[in-house]
Amino acid sequence: MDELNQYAYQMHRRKFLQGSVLGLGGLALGGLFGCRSQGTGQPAVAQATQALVEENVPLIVPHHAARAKRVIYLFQSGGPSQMELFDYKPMLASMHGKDIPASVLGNNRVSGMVTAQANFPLAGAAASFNRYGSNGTYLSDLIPHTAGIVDDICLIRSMYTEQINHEPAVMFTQTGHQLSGRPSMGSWISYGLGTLNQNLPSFIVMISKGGGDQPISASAWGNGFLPSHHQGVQFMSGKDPVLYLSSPDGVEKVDRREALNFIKEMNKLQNEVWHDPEIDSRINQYEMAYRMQLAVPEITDISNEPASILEMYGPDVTTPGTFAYNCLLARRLAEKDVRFIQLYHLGWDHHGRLASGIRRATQQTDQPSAALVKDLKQRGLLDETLVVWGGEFGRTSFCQGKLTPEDFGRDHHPGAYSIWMAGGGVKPGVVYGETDDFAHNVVKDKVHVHDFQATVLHLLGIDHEQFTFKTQGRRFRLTDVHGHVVQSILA
Amino acid sequence: MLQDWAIFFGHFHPLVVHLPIGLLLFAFVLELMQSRAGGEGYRLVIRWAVLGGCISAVLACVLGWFLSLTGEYESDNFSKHQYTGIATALSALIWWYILHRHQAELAGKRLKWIPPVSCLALLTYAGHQGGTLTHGEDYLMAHFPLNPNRTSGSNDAAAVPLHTLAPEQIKVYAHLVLPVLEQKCWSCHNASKSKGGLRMHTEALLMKGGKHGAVVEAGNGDKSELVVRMLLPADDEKRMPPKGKPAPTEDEINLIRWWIQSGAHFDKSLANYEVPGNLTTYISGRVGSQVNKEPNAKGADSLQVPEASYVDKIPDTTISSVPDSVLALLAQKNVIVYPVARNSPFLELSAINAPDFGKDELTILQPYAGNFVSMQLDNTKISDAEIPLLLQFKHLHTLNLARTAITNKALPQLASLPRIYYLNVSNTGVSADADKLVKHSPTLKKFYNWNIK
Repeated sequence: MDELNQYAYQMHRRKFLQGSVLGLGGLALGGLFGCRSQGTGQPAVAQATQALVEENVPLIVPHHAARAKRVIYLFQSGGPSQMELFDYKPMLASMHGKDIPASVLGNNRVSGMVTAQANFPLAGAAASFNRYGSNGTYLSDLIPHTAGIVDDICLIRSMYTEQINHEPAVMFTQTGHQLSGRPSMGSWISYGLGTLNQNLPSFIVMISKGGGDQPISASAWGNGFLPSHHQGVQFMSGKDPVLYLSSPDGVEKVDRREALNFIKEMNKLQNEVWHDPEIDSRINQYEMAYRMQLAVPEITDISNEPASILEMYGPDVTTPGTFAYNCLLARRLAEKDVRFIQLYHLGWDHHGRLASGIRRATQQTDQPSAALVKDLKQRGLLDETLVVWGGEFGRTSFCQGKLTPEDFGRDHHPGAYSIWMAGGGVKPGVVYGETDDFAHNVVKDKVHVHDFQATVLHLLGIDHEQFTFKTQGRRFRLTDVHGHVVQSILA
Repeated sequence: MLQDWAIFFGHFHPLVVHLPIGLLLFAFVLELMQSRAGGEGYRLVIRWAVLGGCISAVLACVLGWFLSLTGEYESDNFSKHQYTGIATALSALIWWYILHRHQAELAGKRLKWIPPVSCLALLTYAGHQGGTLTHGEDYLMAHFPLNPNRTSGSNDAAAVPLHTLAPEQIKVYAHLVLPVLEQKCWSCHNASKSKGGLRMHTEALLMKGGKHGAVVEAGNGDKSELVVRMLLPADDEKRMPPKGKPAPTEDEINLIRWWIQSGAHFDKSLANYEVPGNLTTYISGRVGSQVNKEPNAKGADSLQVPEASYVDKIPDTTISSVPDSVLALLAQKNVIVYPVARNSPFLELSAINAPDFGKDELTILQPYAGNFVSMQLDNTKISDAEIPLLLQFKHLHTLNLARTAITNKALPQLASLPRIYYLNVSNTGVSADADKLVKHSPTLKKFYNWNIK
């Protein structure tokens, strides 16, 4: 197909129909496309054209009343070990060093990193556990601050996924598909519900420094086939949080406005010819960038935060780029009604030297995560903000590599892992789901990644089955053709 | 073996029948055109078209007979279709024979119209009977716009709307199960078509089953063939409905399983049963009201704190929508307004980009105050002076007045809003012990009064 045709195919159907003067063109087209009456009492043709007009139009209005207006997703990349944090399994300690029973291992696949191991010795948790909160929930002493908010969170111990390696598993959790190229959850929500603040993007991404050296690919927050202004806008640490946002030296604000006006006119002319949605995106992005020139410095200037607040988030909070700093910014963005705030913390991939590795990761993340929930709560923001904490999979209950008294490692494990959610219409102080005595298999109330995604959309007022985008000849959903809302954890 | 081949070719019948329809119609139209224009110009074409029609009609008859060997078509409609089909082929042959032999004698006479007209009439009737066999009794008129009883997409729409019925009146089989069977099963298992010997359009026949025995084993939903077949993987050849036919949803299968499990009664109503947890949402949706008033939340977990009850954001009243002109005016002032849900006249409002929001805006909104259920007025120009205006917003559920100039004076009044659930007065002039000023509200569950000190 030559390029001209490509543009023709990208034309908005709605625009095309408007362009064809609403009447006959549209009717004829409805007939050509062979849409059939669904029998709701309207003439078939009117319905057919209506169906065309409604394809690929953002919802803006949710399907049902939303319990959450915005999401803060604290993504813990690498696969935090459920056995060292949330899922207390004394059996592992009592069977320390013995092989995992074959009946437990079953036919579950193990990763290529351990298939060569002669045996799979179980390893007791490298942490001790205590009971916290009004329900006496077992939590690890590595996360004392999270333990302090246990009555505000809903802990899900029964997550499972289909992917065993980082990149596909991150993609699966973020986009609903293991290959990169689909829209991220934040893009879907930005596209579907639109912005609540005209001066900031509705999907913002921050990656913390100092976690680990494992990369995370930008397609995790990509827009896929959705219009490109719905991709996550990454805030960097440093004096220029959004790349290329500030005007170059010597360019005054007025000059910038005039230049933008001129570019906008040019873009509009072009758009009248091509009707390319990407031109709309470009116009949107220029305007957004202009408004962000004012709004972003205000967000990143934390000098007016009182000392008591900074103290809550911990000592790292004043260092730009740390997880603590990003959590504080997340709260400031939530105050500004940004729809989807996505944080990534790397450094949870403990194949070896787990004890020291997980101690480091929890030191970086535990206090800020809990502080964020508390801070949102005291400001009355938690009611309509959904906070999610979790990674892409769990870790094995058996040891990877050599099991020594001092140290050991755990491999990737998709069969069971834990995450938590707070606020935004989720029941507080609840533990949902159970794993077996080895935290290896889920034995009660399984929650698949698609179930989790369906639940997040539900809390935002979206019916995940009705929320589609048609491209390449079929309608796509965040949840593919799966997913059930986990009704039991809804407040 | 021979019969297998016959049945294989028999399945080409629905394809081949369209050839005589096209060719004979084509010949008829040419005949009409010729008699209007005069002359004999089309004669040769007409003869060849009719000959083609004859051959394909005979072929269609033979293939149709092969198809009938499957034994799935045994009814009045079938024999009507069979005999009129054969008659059509015969009349086409007669037509061709007359064209071939007696063309000259008949030219210009009215008599010459007898063969084509009778052939076409038979063709139409046989075609209609074929359609009835394939698509069911009422396929022709089902979507005819002037037909008062026409069936819409779902078959239960023609019946009484379920939400007008009490649970005692809603029959589990007739109102809930039957429409599913009608939509997903009847196209192959009906009065005129009995694939696998199974017909499902009457209660007796459904219970009788097909050639492999009963499909409903009352009291045993998981073992009943009806359910088992629907749960097979999509590419299993025994799966029902087969590939390409509309498949039942998980909820629909669960419904049928539950109905069989609880005895497969045809007369019991919804009031006789306790709807299981996995079906409450679905059945509530179908009947238009909540079933099992107190949903069984046991499965959730044993450790659970009782949570403050949530007040539904959308009031249970009707109200007219806010005119577009008002919404446009608000948009001009950078006030964001959007409906709380699809098809709801109730709105949420955010002044996050409109820090000047104050008396003027509230005054404009007075006539539509009942439409707003949520107002985000954080950091705006609202003060105690605007409270009387705010009190007109009777349906307010969520009100955020953080960082405004309001004081203790406003609180008792705000807490008297009849539906107020969330009130945020953080960082205002309100004193630290202000929660006692809002205690009297039965609906206010979330009161935030946090201050940076």
